[in-house]
This record gives sequence, C-alpha cells and structure tokens, in this order.
Amino acid sequence: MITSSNKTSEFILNIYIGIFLLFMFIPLLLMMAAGFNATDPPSVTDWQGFTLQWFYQLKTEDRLIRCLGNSFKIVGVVVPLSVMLGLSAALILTRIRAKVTHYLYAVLVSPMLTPGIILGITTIVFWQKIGVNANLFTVMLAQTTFIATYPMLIIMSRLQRQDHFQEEAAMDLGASPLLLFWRITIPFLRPAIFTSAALAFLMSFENYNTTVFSIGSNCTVTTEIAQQARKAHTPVINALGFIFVSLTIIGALIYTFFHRRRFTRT
Amino acid sequence: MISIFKVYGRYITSFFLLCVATWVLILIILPQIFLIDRSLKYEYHGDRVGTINNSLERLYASKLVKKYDLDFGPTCNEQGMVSVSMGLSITEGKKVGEAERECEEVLSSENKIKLEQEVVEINSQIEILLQEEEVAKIAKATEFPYSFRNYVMMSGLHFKTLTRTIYYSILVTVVALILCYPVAYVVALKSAPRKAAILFLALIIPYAVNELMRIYAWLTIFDLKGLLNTMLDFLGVLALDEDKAIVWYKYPGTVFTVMIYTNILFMVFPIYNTMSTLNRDQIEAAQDLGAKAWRIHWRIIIPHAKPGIAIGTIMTFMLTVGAFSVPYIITRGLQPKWFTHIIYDKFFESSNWNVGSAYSFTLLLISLIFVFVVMSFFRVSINELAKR
Repeated sequence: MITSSNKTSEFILNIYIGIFLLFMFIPLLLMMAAGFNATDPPSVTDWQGFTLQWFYQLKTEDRLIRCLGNSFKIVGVVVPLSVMLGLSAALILTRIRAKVTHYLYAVLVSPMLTPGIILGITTIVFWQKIGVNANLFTVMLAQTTFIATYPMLIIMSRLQRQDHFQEEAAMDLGASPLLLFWRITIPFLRPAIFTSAALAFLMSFENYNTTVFSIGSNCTVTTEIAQQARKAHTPVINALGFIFVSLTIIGALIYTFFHRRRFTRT
Repeated sequence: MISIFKVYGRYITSFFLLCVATWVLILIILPQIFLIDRSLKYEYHGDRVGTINNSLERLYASKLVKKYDLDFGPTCNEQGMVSVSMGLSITEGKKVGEAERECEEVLSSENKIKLEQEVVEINSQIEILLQEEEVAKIAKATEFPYSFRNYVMMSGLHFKTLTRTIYYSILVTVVALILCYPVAYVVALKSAPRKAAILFLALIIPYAVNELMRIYAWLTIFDLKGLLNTMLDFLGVLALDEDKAIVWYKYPGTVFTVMIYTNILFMVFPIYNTMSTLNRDQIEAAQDLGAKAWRIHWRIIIPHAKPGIAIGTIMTFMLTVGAFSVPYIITRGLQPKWFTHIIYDKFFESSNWNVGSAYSFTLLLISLIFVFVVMSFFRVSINELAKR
C-alpha cells in the first residue's frame, strides 16, 4: 500500500541519507585532493597546480617508513595470536556448557567494552613490574587483549551452526583427534577464520589509543601520523592518506563481492 | 553433547585451555589487578626518610672538608692563610712577612683544636640522624601502604575536566543515536537488495579507513586557510587577506563534530545488524492494519533493534570518553584537555604512575557504570550484546 505521505517520507529519507554520505565522504575526498596540490601546508582552496611530488617525497621519509615497518611487525604477531586465542576460546565456550563458561565469556568480552587507553596502561603497568619496558612487545600484547575477542565472537557464531554429525562419523570411523580437527573442524571454520584475520589486521594496523599508551618511545604509522598532524600539517601525509583510502576502497569492494549474497535475501 | 576431550583429544584440548588461561590471566585479569594495586599506593614526595637523607648528605660533605683541613692543613702564604673550609683569609694592612708569621701562630694551636672539636660535633650529629633514619624507615615499612589518597586528591581542575569529558561524551552519544537511526532504518528495511548493498558499501568504506586519517582529513576544513574560512571569505563574511581568519581549533564545536564523525559508524552498524533480522512482513501487517509510521517504529522496529541500539550506545560512549586522538590533533592545545590527556601527562610527563593508575581506574569505572546503566535500561544481557 503506497500512499502519497509514504512517498514524501521516502523522499525525505533519501535526501537525508545523501547528506549523511556527503558528511562521511567530503573530508576524505578533500584530504585526497590536497595530496595532489603543489602547496604546503596542504589545501584544496589555494590550488597551485597538479603534482605528484608529495608521493615521491614519501619514499624519502625514513622515519615514517621505519614506523610503517613497526606497524607490520605488530600486525604480524597480533593477527595470528588473536586468531589462535579467539579460536581456542570459541571452541571451549561452545563445547563446555557449565556455569563457569558464562563468567569466562563475560571476562573475555570485557576488553571489547574497555576504553583502549586503559588496556595500554594496564599492560605497561604489569610488564614494568616484571622488568619489561614499553616497546613493540607490550603493544602486541595490549592489542591482542581486545582484538582476540572479535575472532572469538565470529568463530563462535559459525560454530553454533555446526552439525556434529560429521565429527561423530569421523570418530566412529576411528579418526584421531588431530586428524578430525585438521580435516573437519578447520575446513568448516575456514571462512570465519579468514574474516577474523582480516578484521584483526584492520584493527591492529589502525589502532592508535592502545598503541600510544603502550609503545614507549618507539612508533607505529598511526602514532607518527598523529605526531605530524599535531605539529604541522604536511601534504606528505595527504599523499599517504590517498593511498590508505584507495586501498580501503579496493578492500571494501572485494569484501562486498564475496558477501553479496547477504543482500539477496529479503 | 560430546565432551570436548573426546572430540579433540587430550593434547589439542589442553592447548586450547592453555591459550584461554593465558589470555584471561596474563592479558586481562593480572594487568587489571596490578593497575588497582598501583592506584592505591600513594607516592611520597619529601617524606621523613628523604629529609633525613638530605641532612645526612650535607653533614658528610662538611665533615670531609674539615678532615681535609686537619690532614693537609690550611697553608700559609705571603698574604695569610689558605684553608679549604674557610677559603682565603687575607690579613689586611700588614707587612708580608708579618702576616705569614701570624698565620703560622694561629694554625699551630687553637685552630687545630677547633677543627677537631667541630669534627667530633659533626660525628655526633650524624649518629643521631642515623638513629632517627632507622626509626623513620621502620615506621614507613610498617605503615599500611594502601589508601584512597590518589583518588581523593584529584584537583579541582582535573575533576572539572572529568565531568566535562563525561558531559561531552553523553552529548555525542545522544546526537549520534538520533543521526544514525534513520540511516540504519533505510539501509536495513527501506531499500531493495541492490540499493542496500550499495549503501552498505558506502558506509563500510569510511568505517574501514584508518581512524587517524579520518581525523587528519578534517584539518583541510578547519585550517586557517581551510575550506570553512575560504567559503566564508567567498561569501564576504570575513576577509582572509586582512588576517581576519577564524581560528576554528579554539571552539569546542570542532572536537564535537569530529568526535561524531569518527564514532558515528560504530552506532550505525550494530543497529543495522539487528534491524536487518526483522521480518518485513511484520511491518507490512501493521501497515495493513492501519498503524501509523511512528507507531510501527515504537512498537515493532525499536523493540526488535534494542540490543543493537544498546551496543551502539555503549560503543560510542566508550570510544568518546576514552578518545585520545581526536582532541590531540584537533584542539592543538587551544581548548581544555580531555580526561585521557591528563592520564597521559601523569604517565609520560610528570611520571606519577600511581596517580595515573587511579585516574585510569576512575575512567574504567565510569565506562563500566555506563555499560550497566544502558544494559538495564534496555533490559539486555551481555550475551545478547556480544552476538551483534
């Protein structure tokens, strides 16, 4: 039943969505555009001509490149660690039904609801007491504390849809636990593990709040961007921003391509 | 239900248990306990032991000087007496030879005795202080080390910053909820599959862009010669050439806007996720029965989306109250601090970790209280929360 008032409200809603998306995208587009403008500090209103010089200059920013390397080191540890912890917790929580698991679940979800800076602080307070100073190691642990929760939730929701028939059959046929885990459980969970790893990568790479409190005097790409943005506004960061946003768009397109079935149901 | 040991065997299961135990103990529980422990210990500055130590050091130094005088003696030269402890004393108005002779007379007897007496006196003073130090040390060791002083001692300025941070965070959360509800509604329930997919993609892109980059992007707008000032210049409101530019970083509105911008999508997605599980037939049935639009929202959609609204509200508040990057980059020190910056200063500027720990725990308590208030308001349990 489509009435005229329905149509007007739909029209207003569509306009609203349009404005909302403009609000989300305009700052990003402006930042990207300023990366091609031959003026420093970066600007879109004071157009001095198209240039790629800021992109070339990125290659000479030794400190930024070193910090980017640190980010990848952290990601390289945090992603496998988070997926491993998340997978373990998910299997235990779905397989053991006891009163304890209820509390365990609450404890494991709690880092997700804790402000990021607190996770960084508790980590350095704890490790300083043991005699370990803040560096990349503490960042890895602090990030894993809350990032591991996401793989846990994603893998749990897939486990809840698992039919135990296959596992039982494998056991009846005398498969060893390792074979069962490797040939049945892991293949069933593969999509969930893949999504978890992608999410963990994103969260670790772009994390700032937890990182800045647990890194000591070292740096990652996000702490370095924040430092530079606070001091002065340089077009080199805009060029880096262009690269980041472009990569994100490609990633999002790939993600939507693989999950497009989600929208076909009504 | 088959037991986990039976399915995965002893070794794999033990490995899982070990992983979870490590996560719970080393990463979550123990660090929290250490934080609380530290926050309850008051760090003394200029306490009794420290003062005694200072006086002792001074006495040892002067004793050393007198000893030097005694052993190697003040020497006489043509102008008079040179001594380490008293400096050069010149005997004025006397002939050169006379001064030297007089000096030697003084040195030989009285002065040596005087110096020896002084050393004895210093020694006895040191004795007394050493005893006092023992007493003070025992007193300090036996004193109960825990107190709430770090919490209670929060200065007026810091308390004001805390309340201001909470106030702004609640405001950001409420505004974000109002702005997001229609967006989630359109994407989840009002769009054909193809349109929904495109809108979803359009929302996921800014969500996935690096948070720092999204904040940094706003500098292009707020800068002195940024978009905002240039537009006002173009409209004739202000004259950029005459240095009449508005310093936008001074106004709290900027932090507020960028906070909304960075955290709003954490509100959209949870609400979208719960709304999209609603069966659209329910809405059509209500429409067919003649229900008005607001009534459909109030009676069908909002009750269904409740867990999503709760988690969105919690996430947005938590991210705003614990925000560090937005005020760090946007205020440029021209606006009052965010509470997280006071914590940062306590750890890395004035390095008073104990007070910093107390402030951190206060922030954690506030977010916990908020979580419980929201959960009981929406009557949602933590199990429902995390599944969204």
